[in-house]
Amino acid sequence: MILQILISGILLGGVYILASIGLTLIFGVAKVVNFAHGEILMLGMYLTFWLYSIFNLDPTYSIAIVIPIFFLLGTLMYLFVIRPSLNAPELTQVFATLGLSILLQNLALLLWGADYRTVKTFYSNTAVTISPEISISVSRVVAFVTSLLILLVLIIFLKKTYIGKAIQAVSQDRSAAMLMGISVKRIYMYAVGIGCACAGLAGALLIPQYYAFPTAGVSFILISFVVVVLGGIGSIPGAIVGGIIVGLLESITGVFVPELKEASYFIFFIVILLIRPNGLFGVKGAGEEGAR
Amino acid sequence: MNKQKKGMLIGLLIVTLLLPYLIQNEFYLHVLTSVLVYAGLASSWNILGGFAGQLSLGHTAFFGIGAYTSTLLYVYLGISPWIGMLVGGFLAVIVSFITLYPSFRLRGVFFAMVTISFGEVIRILFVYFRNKTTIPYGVTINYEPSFTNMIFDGPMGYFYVSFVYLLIILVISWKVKNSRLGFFLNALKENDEAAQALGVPTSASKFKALAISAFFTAIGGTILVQNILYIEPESAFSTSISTELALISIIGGIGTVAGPVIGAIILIPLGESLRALFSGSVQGLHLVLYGVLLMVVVLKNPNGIMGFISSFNKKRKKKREVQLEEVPDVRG
Amino acid sequence: MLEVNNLVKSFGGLQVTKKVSFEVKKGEIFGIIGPNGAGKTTMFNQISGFIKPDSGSITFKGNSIEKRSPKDICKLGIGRTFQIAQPFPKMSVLENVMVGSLLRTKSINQAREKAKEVLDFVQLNVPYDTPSSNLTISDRKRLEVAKALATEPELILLDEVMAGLNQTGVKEFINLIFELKKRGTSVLIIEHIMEAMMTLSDRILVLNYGEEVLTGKPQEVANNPKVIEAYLGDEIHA
Repeated sequence: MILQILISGILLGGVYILASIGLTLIFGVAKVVNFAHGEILMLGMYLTFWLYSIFNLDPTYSIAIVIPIFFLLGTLMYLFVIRPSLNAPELTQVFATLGLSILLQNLALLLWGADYRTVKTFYSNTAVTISPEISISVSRVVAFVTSLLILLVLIIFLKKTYIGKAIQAVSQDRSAAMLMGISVKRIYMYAVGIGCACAGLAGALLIPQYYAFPTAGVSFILISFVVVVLGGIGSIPGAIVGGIIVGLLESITGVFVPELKEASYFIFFIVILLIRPNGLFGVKGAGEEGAR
Repeated sequence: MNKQKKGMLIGLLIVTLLLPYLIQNEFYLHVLTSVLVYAGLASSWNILGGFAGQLSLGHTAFFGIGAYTSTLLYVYLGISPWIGMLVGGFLAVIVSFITLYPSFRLRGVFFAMVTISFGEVIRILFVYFRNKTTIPYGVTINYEPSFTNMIFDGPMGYFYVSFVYLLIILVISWKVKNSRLGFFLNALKENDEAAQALGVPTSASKFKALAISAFFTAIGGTILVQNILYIEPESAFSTSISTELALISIIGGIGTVAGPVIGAIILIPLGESLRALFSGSVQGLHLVLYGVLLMVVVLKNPNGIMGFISSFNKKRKKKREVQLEEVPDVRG
Repeated sequence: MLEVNNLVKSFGGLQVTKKVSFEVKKGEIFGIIGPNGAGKTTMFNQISGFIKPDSGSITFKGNSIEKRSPKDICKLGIGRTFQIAQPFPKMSVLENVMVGSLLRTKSINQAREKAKEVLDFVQLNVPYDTPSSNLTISDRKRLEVAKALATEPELILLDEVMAGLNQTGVKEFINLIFELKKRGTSVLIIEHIMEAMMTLSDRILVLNYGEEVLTGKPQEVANNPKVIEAYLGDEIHA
């Protein structure tokens, strides 16, 4: 029983990490909270769904199409929404991306209606039974493993490539990075592009388990807020730990009071934000933005 | 306020009061009533979001609390919504104190993130505890028109109730804006350290704004539900209510008294007519427009329509001043 | 009136205030000087409640204030200015000052009258409805003083209000401060312009690396070898 809770919590955590990694990446670099992050994820779900239902493409393979498209979408979002709000008042920083989220949600409603859509893969409903008490859904494992792989690729990219290193430099110290000759604005664009690609990817990997519908992003953005703030917003290792914590919390409360599992991590989130605005591990930089 | 402005306002008041007699069309009257209620709701939001600069995305909680309190008290205990409305208002103030008040130390975006989560928590908790009772998912208020029941047998009654609601909140807005509290909130919003150095009470000022804001948002919830006579958790506690109130204020002009009214006059008829024109098939169209409008306004002109008007006035004034200054030049 | 006793404050490992004690008497102009980083502004921040000292006491009119909030301290009668002027940028000059005068009255009209009076006193000669973001540096400094004065302080802390002003500006400010003294307001002032400090101060405290070098009359301070060393030493290290 305990093992089952742990396993499903960690598997869920993997999904949440993937869903929120883009949010924390964008915040870390550009110091903007992307309120439309959930809608990008929702669009990722839809794209994967259409690729599947029109071309019969398996969600795992559609990644190859999702990544470039969402990277492009991210750069557009950067140019038209995020860049103009970079040095703007708080009002603009909150409501520009919130406006985009309202727009995308209802555009989806307009185009595809309110129907719930999902992709049934051959492994969608199979579960592996390890012992009488433990059974694991295959699609969760697939999503978990793929998201770990993607995370690994992302971390290697950040550590090894020039753009990756520049992204890290900018998120640590904007002015120093600028002095080092890094084109900060261009790095912002890459970061937002990569962040969006991550969100779209998360959507692609989640569609076999979750339904795509216009407001599907709302619950994911709220979970992402919890995940990134727990670990310290802007920090990628923080998001990984945050994701696992939220996954575990959800699977534990899911056993006792299933109706309240969402409330549990929100309350946890609120308490953390109020007593430790820098996140559980006190990542530098986030707190200055978080509380004064 | 000068005489000319006062005269204009009184004229506007009289015209609005007579509108139901001029407009016989029921749909138009319904839209007009919606404008009044949403203008009142947005004005309530604006007292916290605009005057105090605390961008709340959790006002749906207060709205839902107000709507549900009066409805449940009326349907199950037979208590008049007029009383239930006040009970709901006070309940919202208590909840706001427990939830939003501790969040005041968070800055802008983080305050927005926390409040949006609060709205969700309240909804989830409400749905959970409702399941433990015999209260059905959707509650219908029986149509028994009487003043005590706050149910009217025509759009006229609702119009005047909404009108009085808006009038009260506008008077309070104006009083707050032009009082010591208004100055303090404005100072805290612009530079809270400098404000504290001048002895401005941070917590007390923000709490007053929060209490007024929560109370009147709840009252608006009651008035709206009495108009529809039906309530369910998903719509009463929907995040979109919070964003819509913010949107109306921002488009009209955040932090001004008239802003939310102007915002409601523009957005509500736009939304209602689009909804009426394209029913069913294109239901998201007005919200797509809202989203675009919100983005364009905050990116291009964060002060909204009021900001546009005041910069226009300033330009005109400057032009006049320049002309005046030129006179001595000519003489010299 | 204001007594500071054995005040200690450190940030991380760095002690920025080391057992400093002094007293400002009623109606006195008390100056604090010292090289950059001597801990002068930190001292102000502790007196005005923005930073809590690690140990030691601050007493104002018999009330211990070292644990009070900035707002309470202001209410008790200590006004302060900031080294970098902190106007409320979207408010007019008059409204800026009204925020201060509203501390002592609830009436907007009274606050407005009081604010006008203060603005005239500091000779901020611009129209009352000028947006504060449009002011020149010297006018910003005047506004900063006006805001603090509007709270009707018995003691005012002035943090480099003359920095960046020209000769006439400095002279006008010196007259202004003497005028304040005449009205019975005590003044605690930090300033780099030595000439001004020598003319103005009744007594001067010299700080270096958070430590008191000495306290004395302007003449004593000017001739003290330790003071000269502190300043010259600073030059060499810099």
